[in-house]
Amino acid sequence: MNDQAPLRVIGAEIERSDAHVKVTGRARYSYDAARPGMLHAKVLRSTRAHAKVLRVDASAARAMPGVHAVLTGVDLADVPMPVYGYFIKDQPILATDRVRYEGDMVAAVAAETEGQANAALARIVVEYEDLPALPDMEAALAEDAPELFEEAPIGIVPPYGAGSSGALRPRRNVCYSYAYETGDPSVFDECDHVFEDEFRFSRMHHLHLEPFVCLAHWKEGDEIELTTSCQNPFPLRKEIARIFRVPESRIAVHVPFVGGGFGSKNNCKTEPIALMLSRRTGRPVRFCLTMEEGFLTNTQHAAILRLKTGVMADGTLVARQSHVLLDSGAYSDASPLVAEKAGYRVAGPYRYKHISSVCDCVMTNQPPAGPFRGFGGTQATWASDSQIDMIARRLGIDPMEMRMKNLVDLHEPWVPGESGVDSDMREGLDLVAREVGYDRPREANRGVGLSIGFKDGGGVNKPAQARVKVSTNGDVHLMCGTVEIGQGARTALSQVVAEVMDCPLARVEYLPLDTRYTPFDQGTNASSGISVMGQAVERAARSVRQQVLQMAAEELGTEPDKLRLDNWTVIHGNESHALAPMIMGRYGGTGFEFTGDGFHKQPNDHHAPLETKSVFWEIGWAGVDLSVDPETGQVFIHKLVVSGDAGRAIHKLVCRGQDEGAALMGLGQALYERMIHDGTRLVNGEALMYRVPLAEDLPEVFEAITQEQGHGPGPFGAKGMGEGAMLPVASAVANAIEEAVGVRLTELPLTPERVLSALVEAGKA
Amino acid sequence: MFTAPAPRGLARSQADLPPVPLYRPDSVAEAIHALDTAPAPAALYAGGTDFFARLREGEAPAALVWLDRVQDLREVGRDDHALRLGALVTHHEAFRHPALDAVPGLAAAWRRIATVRIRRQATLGGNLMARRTRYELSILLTALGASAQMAGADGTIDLPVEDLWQADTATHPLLVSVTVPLEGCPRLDYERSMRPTFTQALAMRDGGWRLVVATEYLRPWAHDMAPGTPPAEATAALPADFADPAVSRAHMVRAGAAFLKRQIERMEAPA
Amino acid sequence: MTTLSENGKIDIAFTLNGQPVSRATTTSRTLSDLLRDDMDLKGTRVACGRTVCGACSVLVDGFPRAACSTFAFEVEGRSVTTIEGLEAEDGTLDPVQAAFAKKSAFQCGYCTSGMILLARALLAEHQRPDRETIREWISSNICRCTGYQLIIEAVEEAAETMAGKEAAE
Repeated sequence: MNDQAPLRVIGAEIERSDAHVKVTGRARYSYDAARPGMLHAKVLRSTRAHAKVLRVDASAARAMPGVHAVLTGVDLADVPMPVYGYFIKDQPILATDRVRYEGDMVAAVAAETEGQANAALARIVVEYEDLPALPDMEAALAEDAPELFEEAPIGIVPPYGAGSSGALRPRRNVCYSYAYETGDPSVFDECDHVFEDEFRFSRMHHLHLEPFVCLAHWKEGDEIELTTSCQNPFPLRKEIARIFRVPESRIAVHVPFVGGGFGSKNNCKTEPIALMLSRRTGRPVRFCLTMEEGFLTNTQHAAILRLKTGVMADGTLVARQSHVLLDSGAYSDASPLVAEKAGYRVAGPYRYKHISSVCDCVMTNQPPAGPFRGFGGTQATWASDSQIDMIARRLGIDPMEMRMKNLVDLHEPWVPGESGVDSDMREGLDLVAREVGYDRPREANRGVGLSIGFKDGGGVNKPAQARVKVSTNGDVHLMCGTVEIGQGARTALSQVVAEVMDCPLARVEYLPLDTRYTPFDQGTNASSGISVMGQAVERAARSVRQQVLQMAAEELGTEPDKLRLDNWTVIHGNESHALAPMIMGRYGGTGFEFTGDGFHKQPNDHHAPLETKSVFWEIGWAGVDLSVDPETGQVFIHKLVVSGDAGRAIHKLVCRGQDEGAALMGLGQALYERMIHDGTRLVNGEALMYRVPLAEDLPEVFEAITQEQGHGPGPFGAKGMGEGAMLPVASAVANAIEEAVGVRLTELPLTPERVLSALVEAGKA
Repeated sequence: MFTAPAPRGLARSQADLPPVPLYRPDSVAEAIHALDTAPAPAALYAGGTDFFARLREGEAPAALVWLDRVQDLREVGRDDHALRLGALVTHHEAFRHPALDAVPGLAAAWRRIATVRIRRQATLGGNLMARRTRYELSILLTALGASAQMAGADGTIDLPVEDLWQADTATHPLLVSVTVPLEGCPRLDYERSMRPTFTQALAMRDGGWRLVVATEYLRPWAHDMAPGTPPAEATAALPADFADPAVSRAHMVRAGAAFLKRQIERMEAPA
Repeated sequence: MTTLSENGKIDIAFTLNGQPVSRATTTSRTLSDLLRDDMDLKGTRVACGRTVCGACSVLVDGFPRAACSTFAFEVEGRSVTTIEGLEAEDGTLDPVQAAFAKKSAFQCGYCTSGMILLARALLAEHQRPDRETIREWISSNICRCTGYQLIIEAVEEAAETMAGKEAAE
């Protein structure tokens, strides 16, 4: 296909392919999955933050009406390896000897109804012996803190490339540490100024609307059927195979539409308990968590970030050292992976001669923290791009100018061994600054702040496979493992196929995900849908197209490059040939199916710090125009402008929606949204008290501008979207507050109380 | 004082309520009778916005008394002395009712509570009797010195709305109405731009002002003061333990004074 | 006084998506369970369980109400509209549905049924709502994905379509 030709489907104003089923209510989610004879699971949760479990008496529960099975920690003896986690297998399916947070799962029941299951749980007696609780990282790192894991859980350190390293349990209550270093630290000696600052980052819950839910069926002959609201069905399958020692070929994981995840729905959540109960009862078991339980199942990482940055008097950045602490909660979940990213990304989009970064995962008695949109990049950007602004102001340099001076150039490797940055970051900053009115004269107490969020995109060492099949009359089947979680992957990937196959989008069917038949994919994360899977899908489609053209060329006695496709006809000069009769002529009346496979993985590269070069760079630019009320500390957002670079927008409204949704999540994080604890107890763990942005919280003016700079590695120059615009919002707001009233906040959220306290401290209120 | 919520199971849902007897009284007397004779504990049911939250938090009624037919609970009216609001009045009905003109500022404050959807469903009675700090009518009605008419088997008693938080209502379990006294021509201003941390209401009437401050987690604190009291002096009277994990006392004293100053200015500005 | 049920069992009759229906159910059955589990209308999504998020909104006598927090017995004699009831018999989408589809005013889709029904009620009360009114109404429900802007634009688009239709009639 001629890449110079104008595109028909890519970038066209067309409805998302899931539009009809979603606006009519026909879309089906795991929440909707049901089977005849299905039982319902519920779990008993620890009311203690940290305690020994002395005794669990479930005998009364077993006798309750409707109860088919009761599980407690002792039942894990039947399970070959009853712990899970990403790098570190430290989370037991049910607590055995210890509970480590309020909400830890202690016992499980399968009953005819959820009500019966809960009634039975109420009859279970648990005897605890309290242990000292570690509500936060300071407590966990204290000299005299008890070790939350007395014995080292099984864990791995993946291979890293140049400058990167990882370590398991480097010190008390730190389950993993990631470090990165490049350049000579002695350059600090050359710096005119060295600035040290500390930042704090509060934690949010994902508040995905569809709960954590699965329907598990352990059938006779150890065949497993699982429908689950999950972002990474293939790694989940692997984990289940490992836990229960079942061949992966006997596990079918189905993932229908997912009602939001934002990172939370990776790896084991509800599945192991549901499977144990199903094996015990021989019945399908549905396990659906309440939203209240969701708050205790996975969260963002709270963080403390300490930065030391060396700079020349003219604003040239020279060196940055950082130490990041992530509150990982009671179990490691994805914390080591988040640490890699927070540690790696904390340098931000600027050029340094020396970078040295350490990120520790600190275990506490809080709910387990895991992946959250931005994946460490949000924490990193908050500190990194706040400090750039602070340094500029301390040096009397315009913060935008300082950024412009230090940004890594287009195509320049971000750090030695990395891929070149695939956006012109100055172009983006300029655009956002213009849109937000950076140069406009300002009234008193009004300020404009800019910020750039920066992250490597597409995942690390992430393979994706795809298959495209075309049947005799031109119906296209797309099979790939990217989960439709709202991001528009079904649409965008189908558009890529339609573009390559020169057929209408409606002819491409995105087949249901079933790990038995769908080609392998590492997971729906890291903005990898278009940038990684997109490349696999494009290759699969091109392979099919080539096979079709080859067949047609042979039939027509010409060469494939003399032919082109047009909605399942072959165009040869002025002639047009229907393909269906041609195929039946060649393969017989039942026809044939052309099948093409595609694969993409960034090659391994030991010179790259994370062992592969970043697939692409996801960059989010933000500009905020706000006013501060100096008497009350309130912040009013007049205008929020965000922008991402889609490389090439496969679907413009989808791209816009990704940036708008990400930016509003970022704005909530900046201003108010957080999990509030009293010690180890979450006090706002339900929808009423946990405040997420509503439509009334939108800024007066809210703009998301999709750039199409055209440098992406994905199909037709596309890059990933979805996380970038979340990253820079909080720092842009803090930067604008300093411009407005001259005080700097370094702790999120930027509440009126913090603004006012800073003003009072500075003698300005 | 802030106290963290008690630890609980969190797995409860609507499914935990078994089928229970259901009564639909037509009058206050019938409702009281139903509460007395139904399997205990019987729960009053009206708008439904708070009921299901309580169910999830552990409440387990053995019978339901559905109040929707009790017309006496829907009345809204005023005379020269008082504004009376029936317990079944929804937010939506209340703020649009002309009787609210008796208290300038009350309708404007009320109309901002909750959301468009919830306002049509949630009732005055549910909002007050839930005794949930997040709910706001208690703040407004405490500022206005309102009283609650509570019905029981032996008749009706009057309780100050601010006392509902700790009152034992076992003998008089049914809120019939709330009465706002009109002596001294009360006016109200409600500042809620600080949500989700704290809000404050100021009521002025001839001879006295009343300030009420509440947070997402703390019950309303009421403070009577002489007209003309400097705002900073008023908010400095906040109790020493008036703070929660989301907002400090110092901030409420400081920012509250700034808001109070503006509230006074708004209320004293010529219409 | 009426004793509607002594034993927790209750029969109800109401209008569902324009059709009269009756069911034997229980006093503790919620409207969302009745619709989803007993009548297989799974377009009503359940999320927070506390009336807050609005994902389970259905129209009861034309106004949105959280079906997770409504007893089935409450709709006796009333008219209930779910997302399944918005399409015309020939499958033509309601203007609000069409606008949501056209504007991509959804992502994961879990809030979408509730949002569309909320918007439907808004447009029944305000033919040409201004942006402020739309924001206020849409603030009734939570969407965690879109940032609301495209939803607001879809409501504006639907209002225009409906006004155009009315003018043409």
